[in-house]
Amino acid sequence: MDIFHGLLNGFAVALAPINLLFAFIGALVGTAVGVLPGLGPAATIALLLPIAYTVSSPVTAIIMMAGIYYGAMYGGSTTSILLNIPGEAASVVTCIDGYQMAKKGRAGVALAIAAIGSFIAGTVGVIGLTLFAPPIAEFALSFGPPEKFSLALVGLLMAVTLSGSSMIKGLILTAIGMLLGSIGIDPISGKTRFSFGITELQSGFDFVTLAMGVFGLGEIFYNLESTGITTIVTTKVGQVWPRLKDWTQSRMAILRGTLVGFFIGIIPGGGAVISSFVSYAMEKRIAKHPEEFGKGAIQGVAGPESANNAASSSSFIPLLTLGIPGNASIAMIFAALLIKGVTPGPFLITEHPDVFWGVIASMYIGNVMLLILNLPLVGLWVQLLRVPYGILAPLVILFTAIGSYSIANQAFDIYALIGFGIFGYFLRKLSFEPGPLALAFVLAPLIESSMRQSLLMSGGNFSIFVTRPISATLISLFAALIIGHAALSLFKRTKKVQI
Amino acid sequence: MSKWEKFASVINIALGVFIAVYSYYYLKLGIMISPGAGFLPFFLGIALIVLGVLWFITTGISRVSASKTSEGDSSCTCNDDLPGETPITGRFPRKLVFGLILIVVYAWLFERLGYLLSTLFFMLGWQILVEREKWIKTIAITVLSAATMYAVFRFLLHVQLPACVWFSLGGI
Repeated sequence: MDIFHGLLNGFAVALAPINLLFAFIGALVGTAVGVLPGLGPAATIALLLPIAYTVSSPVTAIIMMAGIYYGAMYGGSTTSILLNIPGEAASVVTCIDGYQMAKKGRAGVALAIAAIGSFIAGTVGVIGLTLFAPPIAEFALSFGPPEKFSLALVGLLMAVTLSGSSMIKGLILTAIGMLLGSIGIDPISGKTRFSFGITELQSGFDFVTLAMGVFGLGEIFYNLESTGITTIVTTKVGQVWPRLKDWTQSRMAILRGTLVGFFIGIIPGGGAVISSFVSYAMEKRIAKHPEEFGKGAIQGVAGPESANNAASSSSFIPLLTLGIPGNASIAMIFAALLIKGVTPGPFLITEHPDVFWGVIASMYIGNVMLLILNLPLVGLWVQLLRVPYGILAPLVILFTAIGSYSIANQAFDIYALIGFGIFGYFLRKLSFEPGPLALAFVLAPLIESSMRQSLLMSGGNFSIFVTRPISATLISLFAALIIGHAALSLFKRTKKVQI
Repeated sequence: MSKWEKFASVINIALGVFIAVYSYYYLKLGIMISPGAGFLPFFLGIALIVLGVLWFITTGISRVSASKTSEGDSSCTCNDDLPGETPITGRFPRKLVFGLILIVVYAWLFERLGYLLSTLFFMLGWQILVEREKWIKTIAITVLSAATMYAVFRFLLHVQLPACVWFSLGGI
């Protein structure tokens, strides 16, 4: 099936009334949660993962999860611009110039350019996904266990290296995530690992419980400490449609942001956050009047917002083609696919073309939905901020508790959820970025099984990972990245000492 | 934060030692051509020990450099706590403590009292102990929340919720 026919079939799937409805629900919920400070996209998808069990069709479930993901990316800009509070990490830089524009009475223009930039970047990102994903998947069909092992390990370690502030902490969480993923019966030897006689642990922890605990409950516990989370400062939106001058100033920033975001989004660990920062730095560097940045430069909103949306589309490429989630939010979608019995990877396009093309086609539709949801309804989203945290927090807790109970109808899962919630709370207190934990947990079975198969193939010789060309290239690339990262850190430290 | 980070790094090392020993003696490493159930966990345990030691050392280094910075800058009001937005102080806020107790009690009551009574208890407790709301508002929020959650899980998501073992309220 070529790309054109695949996409046509995808539209036939995505335009089915039930899928349209769930794409809309996903976009709506994603935008709503993106607007609310305190819960990021990963936490939202984690909270809604139990729905994946109840929705019968895998396409419908994944269409909704994808909608939540890019909806949250859109919604995050609203509070950044109006309240100087980022709805999620990728919108942090939007605060800088977006809020200044709002203070000057140009909130409407900032919101509009963010939404239009997001729409253009999101759509271009999906076009890139449509064009790049099939050839990458075809190439990945030749991968054997050693290549799969190297790819999963290198992808995971790259995500750790690029996403967090501390590499040591990221690696600790990676090891803990893999250990948590190994709990239960070993599929090869049949031996039970780390269950300590607890019957419920024999099948291991469910990813949904772990994700809801660490990302959802952990975030709620952490927010319970903060004061002022319910403080609302509303700003008048003003004129929404940008003037010709605004458009002229921002069109190239949107284009550059789109390209930067798309390519950074493909790299594991790259994602929306890094791309928005890179785009902002780039716009400031090439601007004719860099002194305007920080005082309400429209390029400072257009570039980063476009970049984070392009990245959220392109981060689906490694997931759908290689089966490697590049960030925590994508790891949730990876888990949702597994829950529905669909294994993401190079075989997805041939074994489940309806899922592959249906999700891609739904992204085109979802982007249009989000443009409609974000521009005329911006006033409604601001009203959402009036929901007191005292009501929101216990509702989220109830949702996670009942959601985790519903997986296997056992109270043990609620205790496990609370345990993961406390763990997530301490991770935040100790400045850990919890993303690698989720990535390692979902990738642990793939890494272990491909490692064992590789060792069987090579007669127990570890050199198989460096003698096969693709595997060797991947490991070399990663080694180069680590050396580059270490050299850069050393250079920065030396410079600091000299200052 | 330095003290807490050091404490956490020691726990990390202890966890690594336990996992490595457990994997080696109980799960077994197997042979290279056919690794056993303990092969990967053993190396992960070793990794935790090494990373824990590195974490312990780097925490000490950052503490020394931070104290040097604060000596050089008299205007700096740095305290013992280094990274983290709201560092661990050893004293946890009332909201967090009550919230945590309520969730644990909720988990314990959930199957014993059934969905309805346990959820009413949780929401009521939350509004009184955590939020300290007025009675009328507390009752309204409690009843509405329990009903909304019931509708979402029972009718939208078709989840079987535990019934009250004492009253057997027909699925509620």
